[in-house]
Amino acid sequence: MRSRSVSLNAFLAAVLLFMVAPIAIVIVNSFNSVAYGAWPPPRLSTRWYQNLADQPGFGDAAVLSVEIGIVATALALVAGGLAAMALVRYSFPGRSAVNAFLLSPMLVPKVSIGLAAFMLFLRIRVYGSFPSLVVAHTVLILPFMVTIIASGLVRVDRRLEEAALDLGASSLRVLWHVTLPQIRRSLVAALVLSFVISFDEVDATIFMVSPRQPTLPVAMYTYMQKFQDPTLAALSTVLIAATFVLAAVAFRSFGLAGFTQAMSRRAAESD
Amino acid sequence: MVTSGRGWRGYALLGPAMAAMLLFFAAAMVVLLLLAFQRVEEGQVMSGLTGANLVRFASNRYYWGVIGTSMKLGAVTVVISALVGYPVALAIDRIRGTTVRGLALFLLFSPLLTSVIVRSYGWELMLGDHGVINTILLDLHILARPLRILFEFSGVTVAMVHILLPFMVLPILGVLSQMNPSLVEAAQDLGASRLQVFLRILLPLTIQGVVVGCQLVFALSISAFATPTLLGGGRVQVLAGLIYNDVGQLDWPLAAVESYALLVLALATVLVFNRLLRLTARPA
Repeated sequence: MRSRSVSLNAFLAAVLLFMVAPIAIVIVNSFNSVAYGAWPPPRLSTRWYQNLADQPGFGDAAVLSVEIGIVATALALVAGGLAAMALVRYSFPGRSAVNAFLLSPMLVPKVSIGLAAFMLFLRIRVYGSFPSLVVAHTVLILPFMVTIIASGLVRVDRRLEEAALDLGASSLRVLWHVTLPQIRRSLVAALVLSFVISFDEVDATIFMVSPRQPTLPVAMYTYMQKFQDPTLAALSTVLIAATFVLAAVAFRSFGLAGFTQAMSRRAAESD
Repeated sequence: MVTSGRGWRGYALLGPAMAAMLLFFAAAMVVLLLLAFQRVEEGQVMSGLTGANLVRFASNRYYWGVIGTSMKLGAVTVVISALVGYPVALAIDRIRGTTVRGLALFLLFSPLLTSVIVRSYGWELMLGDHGVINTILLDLHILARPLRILFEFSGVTVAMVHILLPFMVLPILGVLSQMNPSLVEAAQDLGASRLQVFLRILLPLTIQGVVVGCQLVFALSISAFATPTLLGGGRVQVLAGLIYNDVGQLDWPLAAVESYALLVLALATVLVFNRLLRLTARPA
């Protein structure tokens, strides 16, 4: 049995190396002194970070992506939180149909949603506008928001709420002081995940943005189709650092189990 | 689950979410469905419905070939992910230390923390003719000429397995952790071979996790866009990339037909795997 678990662990180590290899290579290559065909890097340099700072397009695109991510996450939090409340706490005819409908954007391929949005936005003459992108991203992250918040709500101790109501607290105070603190972890998970999904979204967004005003991942996609110099690696390294900070925040607030659970939900957007 | 309250309050709470879903999502999907049956000339949608777009799609063997490539990518990715993911799940399940286990899970999930563009770029650096893998293999004189992996089906498959492996491992890990480990020990004590233990004990008890993993991986890989288009370099054409190209050529109705073809494939996948799930369910 001993030899078997050794070979199993060796296999696991090899696979984990495979998982981190492309990301590690990107980080190393961002300090490469030359653009093409040089591995290992002949010398280290920060010129690509300088080059990145000189590219005006990426800065604007990053700002746009952050703005869309924040506004869409906030809207989805309100709409999704209320919907989760309705689905968990109320019984009404058609509840399971509503549930299935709210989760359906997860099932439909992203490119199909993107093309559908493109045609709709053209028809009602809002193509390329900020609100149109926000609404589309809100709907794309809504299923994640609803499922994660609902999974928190079902575990809430209703007796505490009833006790607070009996003691004369208004239902808004109960929500703020009793219910929300109990689902704090789910809320943080839902917020972080939603923002990351919106911020990274390419497949649908590429149809909805005008080429002159792309989001960051769309700008990176277009850049990568034209050039393959390490500017992209520098930008990626900055993004990886930022994502790890966000992940660390999320990790701290909901622990390993919640973290893996949340990551497993990152299904749809991460082909 | 405790439910309370009168129905109308439930509907009121659903208001904002349903408004966004109906005004954007449902409306957009209807517009797209209509478009599949319309003619577009010089960027103008013509009145009247036609079946010509469907015929144009269904009668062209090239498009069927693209669907074939998408399905092949899904199938190959599923098989490799299952063959790699199962032992990975077993190995992680056997780790006893929480820190080591946490580290393994973190490394496994780390690709999900980076954007698809970053990952694709990383694979370009790894798999190119002068990339890391070819440089190492040439330096060690294992190869005489660089392996052509990048901008080929094989390179796309490597990148797809990379990102989808966590979706295979997680459900298998879930069922493994619920399994009673003494079942395997009992079988071993009674003299079962490794193969027998695997075929008669492990696999039947974890098959549900494998099926869920396959469902996720297949559905995600047939609708993948950025990875196949960036790493396929135009030589590997999948359905999602075809839709993007046809939009670029302003053939919106054809792109609409292709979008619904992709949607039908995705839904069929879910149905087929749900059926498999029911078939493999153990009677309680």
